[in-house]
Amino acid sequence: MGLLSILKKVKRKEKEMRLLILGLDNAGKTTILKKFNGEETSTIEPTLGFNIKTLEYQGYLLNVWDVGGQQTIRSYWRNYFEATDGLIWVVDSADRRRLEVCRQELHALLQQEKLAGASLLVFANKQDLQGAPSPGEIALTLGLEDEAFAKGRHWTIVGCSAMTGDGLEHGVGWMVRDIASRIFMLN
Amino acid sequence: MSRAWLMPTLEAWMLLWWRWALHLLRAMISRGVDYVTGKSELERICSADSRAPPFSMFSRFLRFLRLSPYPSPSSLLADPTGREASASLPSLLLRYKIPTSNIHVQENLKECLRALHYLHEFKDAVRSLTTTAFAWENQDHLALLHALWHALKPGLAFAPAPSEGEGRKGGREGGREGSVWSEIGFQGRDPSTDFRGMGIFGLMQMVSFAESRPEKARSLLLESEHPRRWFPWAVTGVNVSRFVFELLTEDAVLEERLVEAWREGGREGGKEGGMQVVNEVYADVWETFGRVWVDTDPENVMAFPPIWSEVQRRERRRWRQRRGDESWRLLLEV
Repeated sequence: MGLLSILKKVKRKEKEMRLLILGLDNAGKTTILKKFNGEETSTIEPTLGFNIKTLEYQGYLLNVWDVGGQQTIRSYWRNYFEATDGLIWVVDSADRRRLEVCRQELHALLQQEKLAGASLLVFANKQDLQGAPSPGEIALTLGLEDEAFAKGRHWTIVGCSAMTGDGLEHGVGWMVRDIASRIFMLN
Repeated sequence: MSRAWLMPTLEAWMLLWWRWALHLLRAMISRGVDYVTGKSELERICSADSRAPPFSMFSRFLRFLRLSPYPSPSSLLADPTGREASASLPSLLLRYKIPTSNIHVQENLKECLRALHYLHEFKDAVRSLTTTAFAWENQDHLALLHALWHALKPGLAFAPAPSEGEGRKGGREGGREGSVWSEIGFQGRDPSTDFRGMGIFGLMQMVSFAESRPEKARSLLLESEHPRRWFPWAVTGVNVSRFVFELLTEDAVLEERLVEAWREGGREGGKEGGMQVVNEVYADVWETFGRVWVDTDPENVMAFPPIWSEVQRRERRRWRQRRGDESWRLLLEV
């Protein structure tokens, strides 16, 4: 085994990213993950615990953790923060009544030190439903535009529909580019 | 790096090769028997006595369909004129050289085709239930949800008429949306968002379980409230339904039992009989889950995925054994 192969290995290891998908229950986290991975999405059940998937995307290996969003499970979220490069926060745009809860959970999450360096992608999901507020409105409601929030954080919001698949590629593409520009700058 | 992941893959490959060799051997033996008896396999299958209580002829017919390249079950049903099963009879008789004068064999074959047709319709019916979303406005759906509550929490009544205002009884909110639902393991205030891909079918199965095996269902509910290893009862129920639906549609393991229920139920009550079968399977899976969960004694609910896969693995194995397509049977029944 020569130096080159060792170097290759190290490099390959570097091309891995760890993404964490969180959000309230029924936001569509698992459906987004499955749809993005080209799987069947018609018989999804509420996630008890978590799903892990390793996807290959644009030459990167994405280790994606999709953790259930039920209120009683949220206290376990912190067990999955370690070494997270990117956080995908999924919002059920049509669930207006819980947007406030959604805002509180997101803000509490971003106080976490272990997530301080992670890029944040907010998916305003279920844009295919009639009357769903636009990503811009969601950003306002969630307080993403607040100065204190945006300070020093790489974030974006993307409208999507996990049912049709619209917007998923756009969002994940942004996330991968953003993480790559932060941590693989040497390549 | 552990190589543990390699073992199941290897196992699967060996199983695949073994099956392939077995089928080849079987095809050869079958040809030999064809030659000696002068009858095709299909004719031999349908020569049996169809009134023998376990409809073993149909089991053999199904195995025959699974193993032979022609005809595929779907091609037998894909008939533009309303999927009348017996429409495919002439082509089968011709292809497998069954003499048209043999009424007995023909009748049996027709019965097999009817059973196949029934299976197809039943699966369609279940599928349409899974795509029917729970709706609060639908009185039938609401009644089911309330029936679930009453079966799991007997003696704790709702306010009598939810639409008539704020009346309360036993400290429970009116039986509509509310935090009360998390007491039986829904995720939040609105159970309708928890049925997901299983739709109203998921709720029907829960109700059937809670009503047919109330002690078991309630003891599982009690277990689900354990301070450390709690789990959400209703959401677990939806997961169980998803597995049962998978068994029903993909694995073909339940077919023989469904057809038996159909024949016992005098055909008219075919759908109910079939429902009873899938509901029993559902209850069995629940009980297995309860046992494994308690035996494993997990740290917390996040241990659900591996435990749940183990339960599914065990159940699948049990069904494979019960279906009885062991190797020796494949070789003897030709």
